[in-house]
Amino acid sequence: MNLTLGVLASVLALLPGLALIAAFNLTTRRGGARRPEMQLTAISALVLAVFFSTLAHLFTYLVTDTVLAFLQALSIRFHTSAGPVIRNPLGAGFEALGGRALPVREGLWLLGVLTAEIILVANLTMSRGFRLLIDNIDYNGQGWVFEHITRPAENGYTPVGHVYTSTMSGRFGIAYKGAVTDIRQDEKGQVLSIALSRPERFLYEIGPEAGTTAPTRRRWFKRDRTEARPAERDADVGIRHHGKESAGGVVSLDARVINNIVVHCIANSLLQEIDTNLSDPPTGDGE
Amino acid sequence: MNVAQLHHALFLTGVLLGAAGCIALALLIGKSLLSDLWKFLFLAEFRYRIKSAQVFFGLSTIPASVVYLTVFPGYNLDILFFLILTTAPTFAWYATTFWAWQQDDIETRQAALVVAAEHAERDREPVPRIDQRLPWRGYIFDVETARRRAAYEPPPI
Repeated sequence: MNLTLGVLASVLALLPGLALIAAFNLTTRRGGARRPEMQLTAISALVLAVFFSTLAHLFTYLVTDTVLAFLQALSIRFHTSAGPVIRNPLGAGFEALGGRALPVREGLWLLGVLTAEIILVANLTMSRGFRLLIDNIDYNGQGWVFEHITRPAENGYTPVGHVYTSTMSGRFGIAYKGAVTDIRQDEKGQVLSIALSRPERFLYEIGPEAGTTAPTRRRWFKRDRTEARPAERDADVGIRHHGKESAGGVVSLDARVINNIVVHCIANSLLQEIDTNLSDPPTGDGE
Repeated sequence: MNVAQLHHALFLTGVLLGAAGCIALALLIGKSLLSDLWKFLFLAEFRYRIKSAQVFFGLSTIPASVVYLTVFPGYNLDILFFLILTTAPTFAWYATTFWAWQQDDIETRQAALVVAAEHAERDREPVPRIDQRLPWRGYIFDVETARRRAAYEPPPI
């Protein structure tokens, strides 16, 4: 893209809105759930940028006017000089885009005003009040991840994920269980990767239990009368979990190896209770 | 100490006081415009202590109005707006937080403290105590967060 005056003009005009989107993209949500950054080409991002730029410029223009009036009044009231009287720097900046000369003094003020605008917008976006305001809005379109991971993590629950991987040997596969610390989605919302902290690794088994082979076909007169009927045989067909071992640290799983993800939310208070109960062994006096 | 030295000392003190005053004023202006003014919008959205916030905002415009009437009588009203915008929000926000802290019962404070402790731990800051006389920074947001947490229902298992 050529750096023409038009680009500069739109950057100047949209600067607060761009700062807003940058700040928006920087704030990660708790629970580590992330979608790719909001693209400026997205229509919603563009509307946001234009809207907040307008607001920021309007507010800053009015405030700058009052600041200039105050400085002027100070210099008149106390017979001092605060330098030559200048035009409103924002107005002068926009006029300069139309080809009018921008004096150095107004240019410097313009830099100050733009800096203040960016600080204001970033401050606003990263403030706790703003976060509370958009607390229950799924602005990134995360879908189930928002409802089952992000929101619970922000409200005192720990999302615990069981991830069944496609690393299989025969009927056995490897699965992990742990608190979800990070989950990433692509722009369409598909899961790209998931990370579990302090995971437990275990085997899962699909089909009949290991050791019991599928019954061979026998003629009816040779069939053992004590053999389980078909309905009873079906009962031990399914999915079974085998002994868990702590893997420690964190495990990051790529979308290629993930078969399924199951997420439950457990209250932090409950986890804490379990922790304290585990760390205080029973005293043995009947309590 | 002769008169010249006295003048010299007075001049230096004046310069230092003026510089400190300017810095304090700049901080006040920055804090009012860039952060505190907007907190009232959030407060209105949360429907928490709106009445008292309005009253305190009204009261906080008094110093600005007094300065306007005594120092700049008959000047453009822009000056009054400037003084109000740059001083009232910070005063009013402190007053509202303090009033909320005074009025809230022990359960509300306790719930807010849990949230504040989480934040303090994450930022490696000292954890506030329940029996302190003044509220900690962001007390109102902690109250609101605690209220939402209490109302939140997780997705069914």
